[in-house]
Amino acid sequence: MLTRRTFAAGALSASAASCAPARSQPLHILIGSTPGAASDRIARILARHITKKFGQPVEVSNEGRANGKMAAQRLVAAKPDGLTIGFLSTGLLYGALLHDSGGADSLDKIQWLGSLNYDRRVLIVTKASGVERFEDLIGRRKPLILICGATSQSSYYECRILDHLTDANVRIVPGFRGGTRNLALISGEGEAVIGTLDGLEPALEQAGSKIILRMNRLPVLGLSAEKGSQAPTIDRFAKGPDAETLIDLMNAHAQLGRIVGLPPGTPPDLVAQWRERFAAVSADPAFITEANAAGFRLEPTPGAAVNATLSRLLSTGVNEVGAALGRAMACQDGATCA
Amino acid sequence: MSAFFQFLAASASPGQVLLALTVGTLAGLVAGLTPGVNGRVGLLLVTPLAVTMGPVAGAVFLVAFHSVVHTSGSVPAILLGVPTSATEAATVIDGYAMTRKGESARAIGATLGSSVVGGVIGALLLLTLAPVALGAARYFGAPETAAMSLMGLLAISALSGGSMAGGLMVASLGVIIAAIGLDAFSGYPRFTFGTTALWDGINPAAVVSGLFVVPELAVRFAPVPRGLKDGASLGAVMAGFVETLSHRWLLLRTSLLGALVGMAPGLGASVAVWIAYGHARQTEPSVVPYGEGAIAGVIAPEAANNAKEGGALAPALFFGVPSSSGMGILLAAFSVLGVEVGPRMLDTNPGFVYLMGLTNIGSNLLAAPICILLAPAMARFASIRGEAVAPMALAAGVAASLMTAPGAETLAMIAVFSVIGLLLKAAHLPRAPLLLGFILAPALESGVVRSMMIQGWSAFTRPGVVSILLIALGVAAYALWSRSRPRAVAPKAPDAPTRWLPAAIGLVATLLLLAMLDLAKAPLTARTLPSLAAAIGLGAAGVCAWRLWRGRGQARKAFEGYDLLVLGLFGAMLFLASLVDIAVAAALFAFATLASRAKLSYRVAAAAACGLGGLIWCLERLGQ
Repeated sequence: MLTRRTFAAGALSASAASCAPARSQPLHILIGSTPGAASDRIARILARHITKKFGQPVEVSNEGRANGKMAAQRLVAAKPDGLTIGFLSTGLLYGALLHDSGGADSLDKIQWLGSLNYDRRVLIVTKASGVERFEDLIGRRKPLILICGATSQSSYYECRILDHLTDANVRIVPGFRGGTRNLALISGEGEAVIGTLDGLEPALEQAGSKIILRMNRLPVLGLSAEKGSQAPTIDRFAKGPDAETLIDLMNAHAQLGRIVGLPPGTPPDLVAQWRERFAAVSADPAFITEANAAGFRLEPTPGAAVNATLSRLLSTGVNEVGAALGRAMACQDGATCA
Repeated sequence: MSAFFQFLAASASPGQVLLALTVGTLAGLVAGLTPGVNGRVGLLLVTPLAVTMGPVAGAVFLVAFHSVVHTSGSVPAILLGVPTSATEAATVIDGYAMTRKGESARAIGATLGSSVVGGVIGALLLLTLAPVALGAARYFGAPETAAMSLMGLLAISALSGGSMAGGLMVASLGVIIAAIGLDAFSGYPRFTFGTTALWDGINPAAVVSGLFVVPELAVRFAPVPRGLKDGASLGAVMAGFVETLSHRWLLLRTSLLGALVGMAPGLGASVAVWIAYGHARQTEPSVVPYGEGAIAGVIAPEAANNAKEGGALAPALFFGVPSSSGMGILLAAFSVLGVEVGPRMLDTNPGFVYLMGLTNIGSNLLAAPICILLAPAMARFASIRGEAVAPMALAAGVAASLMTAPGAETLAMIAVFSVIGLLLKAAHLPRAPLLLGFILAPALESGVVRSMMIQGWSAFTRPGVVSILLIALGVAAYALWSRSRPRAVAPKAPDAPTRWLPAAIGLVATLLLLAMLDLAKAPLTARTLPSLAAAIGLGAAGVCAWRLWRGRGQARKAFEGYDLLVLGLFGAMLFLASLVDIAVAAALFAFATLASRAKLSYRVAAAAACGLGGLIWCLERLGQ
């Protein structure tokens, strides 16, 4: 006679026999992007090196929905026992400042372990646009077709900020995700794009395409002057009362890059232990070599600095930064915004 | 070609490349047969293995893997009637109908034949395009994407099974379901009910599970004839394989369609197969009505599916830009291997492009004999009793959906779409148009909005758009003309209304009306297409209701009915899966249904349930 107990035991033994044995206390890394994305690739490399260095097994899961907001929600709700780490995108910062839904406004409560690299964001134009430098856009008769990401992505927020702070004549076309932005430039549908330097590499490889503006003060590395390594920063063309606040925001966003954290409420000793581990892996030559080979330039930032930056931006969000960003988002093409 | 041989001689030994091609092909076929492991997940799993092979052999391994993963992917779906993605759903309509007639081996043969031919045509297009890639890219943008999607939507009439109004009504509901989520142009949340989980819309796997898997497997199995009319012999498989060649023009057309869709950014395999399936129903005469086992209904989507791979490789290799998430993972894997692709490669390393094109061809040619030899054994699955297969397949379908997007939201989506699917089937309303609207509406909407924002009305006078629309109109006109001729496409007799029809019309009309009212406050970009679809759908619902009222005196057919015990246990499984792991819930569901419905002994049922639970548990962890 088959009892429930025998059935449960049977199920358990079949599972155990047909797969690897259960391992104790694995670390769960929650990645706020889809499989194959740049963040996913570097997070999986990091996972391998955590196991290699500390012997702790790692389980990886992707939660790329809602542009990483679902991952932030899950991290905030996770048990603060040091067994869950979130690998999130700072694109959440813009949404959090505007207080959109999704729990991402708990960003300053997450215990950050640090950031792996900077996020160099630039404005690239195609040769077909006829634009040689940013000044050409000011007073241009025909608006430049500026391809941007979906409305919850950093690229879209920065397109709006550019439009809000400068006199460039652009027509913002949102809704382009991932590779479709590059294809739109290659096919000639779009004339310009704002995004990360890494992500826009295929577009930049096209003959005549170049960077004409840096959206933050980070230097452009590894490119020739012909491709725009010496392009000016947005500071030079920005004007209006929101200029200083929004430029500071974009700089902070770029320096935060890809951030890694523990759930809010994690005990301080666990936070300290994991910050040490994160710093040790980030400085490990084997990890650096593998990350470099995969196309990542590592520029780590300590967790305390990440927490401090996010706390500064989000605590003043309602009155200053959030309000300025809100005005930029309300600014429509052709309207006088500043 | 000399560039190819020079490259090969300098980069890797032919032996290494052939070994990588063979292992990649075998791994791709195994991944295709495994529920929940599609091209994307599969690539993630095998990339570490590719790294050990070195750049060239590793790239050959990955491309071979990705080229054939769809070749075997449709086989379980055809045999069990369980599509685990929108891509397989098109093939299953006629493929599973063939299985139920005992022609599973012929259906598998046709699948393999069309996959091989489609794959080779897609690869040849890739090789042909290499010298003119940049120029060609300028002629395919948002307006052409919109035109292609519109062409696909014109197939609604062909998929409506004799009730155009019913087809339009459910297709409109598909458009509304596709609209769920944040509008990419305005950020307006359409029908998200305040939850972030719906920002990215509805999980297609959940829609397919609910619409097709649950209604097909929850019927009482006694009246469904099963067996092996064709004997599942090698001869029967070969007959199906060879029969594809008698549809050579359909093969060519749908392969080219698939390759073109593969190149287009944002479209994917599911769009390719549905456009191809609709095209077959519009243009290819069939003695057996479509939906009841027409072999052309298997050939068209399978050819398009494999041809898409060659098309999708073009932007990936020539520009370093992925046109789909699968290609994104492939490019990421190339980056890990140290293989640099992009525009410079065409000048500096054209041999690599030729190698990838030939790998695509080679893997398809290699996959065919392997699959043909294994096909008779696979086809014998179809002879297993439906009562025994159904619970396992139902649980596997849910698990596969959950693997694409884990979480209670996916379970809730499966439950909602199961109710819609069960009701539509009970009412004898077509379900394929709903999926067509769901798959094609996002591409149509984004194509039209982008075109208007960038180019205005002049976008629709581009040569590519005009050509595609003329072809679409020509196809539609041909379909109408051929139907009026004797010995043309065998018409499917309209299904008699059932007692469930008023409830189904009422539900769909209510959903459309609520959507229309909710959209009134949305921005222009967010409301135009869904509102138009809802208005058309409401009109069609009105026609359906009027016909129903006019024939109110006629006796309505009683639906043969679902197995309420299986449905109840299925609901319990969904609930349990939200509390514990799906592996445990699936095992308990399988045990209960196998013991109560298939009348298996407790020991056999427990063994089967444990095996299923263990397999799901392993597959869940494979992706981590």
